Amino acid sequence: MAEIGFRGGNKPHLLYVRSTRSYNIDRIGGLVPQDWRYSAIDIYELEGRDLGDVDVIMLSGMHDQIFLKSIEPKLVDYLASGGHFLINGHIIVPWLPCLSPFKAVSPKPFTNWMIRPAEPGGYFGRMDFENFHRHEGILGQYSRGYADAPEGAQWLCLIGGPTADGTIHEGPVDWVWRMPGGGKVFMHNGDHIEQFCSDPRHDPNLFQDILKALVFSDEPAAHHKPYRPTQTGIA
Amino acid sequence: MKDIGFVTSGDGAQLQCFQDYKAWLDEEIYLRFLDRVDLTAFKAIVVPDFSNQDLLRRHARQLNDYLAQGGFLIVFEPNRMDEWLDVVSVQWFSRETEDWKWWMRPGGRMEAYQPEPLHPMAKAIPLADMCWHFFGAFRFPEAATPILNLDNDEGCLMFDLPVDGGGRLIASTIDPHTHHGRRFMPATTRFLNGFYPWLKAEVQTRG
Repeated sequence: MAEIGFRGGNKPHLLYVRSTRSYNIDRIGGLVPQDWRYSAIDIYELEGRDLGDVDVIMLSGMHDQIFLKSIEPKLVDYLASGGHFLINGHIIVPWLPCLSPFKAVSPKPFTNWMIRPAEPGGYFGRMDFENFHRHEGILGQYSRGYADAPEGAQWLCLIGGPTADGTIHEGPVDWVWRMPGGGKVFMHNGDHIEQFCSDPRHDPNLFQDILKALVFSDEPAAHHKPYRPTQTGIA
Repeated sequence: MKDIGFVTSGDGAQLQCFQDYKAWLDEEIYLRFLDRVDLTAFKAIVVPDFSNQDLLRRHARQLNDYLAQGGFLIVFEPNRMDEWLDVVSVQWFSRETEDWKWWMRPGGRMEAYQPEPLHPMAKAIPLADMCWHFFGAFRFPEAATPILNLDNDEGCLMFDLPVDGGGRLIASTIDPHTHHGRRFMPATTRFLNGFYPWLKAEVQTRG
């Protein structure tokens, strides 16, 4: 582990950014692998925080996008220097150049809200796609749409499907992108990825798989040729 | 004078709601810098559900002064307004929705009713569009008109309270913005589709 040379020392360091009251805001320390470093700060402390020892910045589904946009150059520098992001939420104000506004898909037919694999890789590869995204059996709690991913991104999971006029409207609900020469951005276009199959007693563990793939894997590889399931009909 | 100011904590759902209802809203007010805004320039101020509670406490004096000086304040939970409103006493208590999946049961209903069907908000928004779930309830303030109560008057989920000095508070423990803004739960969209046109007409009528 030490050979990899983490920014936070001999083990990866996740910094959880506390913002507006969010699901499980006080639970994250119990979800991050215990052999990682974990710390949490209020979102507005990000502006003055040295990020040189942080490997993953995690944003909850409820974060102040106006504020993050105001410190965009600092966040881009962090990414360019090899730091990673794990982002939840509906982006309305894209606060990194690689982010795009959220697009809802039609909830009808209900199968549009079934999450399907694209290139799940080490991030979602151990998940049972029939069930992992349901909350007490309910569809939609995981996500209701997607956001366009930057060129070269690995589409991990898909959402969407047929619309009333017969066209197909689907896109990547979860994607990961590597800034050339820099760190990665994992984007979950839903509320809280850590709500699903991510309790430490859950095996396989989605949250920990995502973190490990983000930090340890080369996915997406620098010259990744992305798989695109539908090249036509995407709104 | 402007009609309605919408306070945002910068959360995606709140930003989405402002975009969706801006035909009825005059300005998006960033909560972090609330002290840069003259709230008295607005006939009504909406503080949506799931706002940043630390920032609400930090700017509490300004919100209280607005209400005390005759402003019309509308606050949704979970914002713990009982902890930062002092111009009026709001007593909030914890109360889980009996069954959050009531809508999956045959004949299911949320345990609430409209005790004053002639209140203009109850006339504008049917009971079905006020029911999904809620975040606690209020003890009933004496001078208030209840808009949505728990069954058996066990507590109040929405009330309309006149405040000394001409102010007015509508308080509610339901959370329409976070769900509409996240494109989940059609009843929350129907609520807001009724609420903002009603509020706009209400402030224009009252002047």
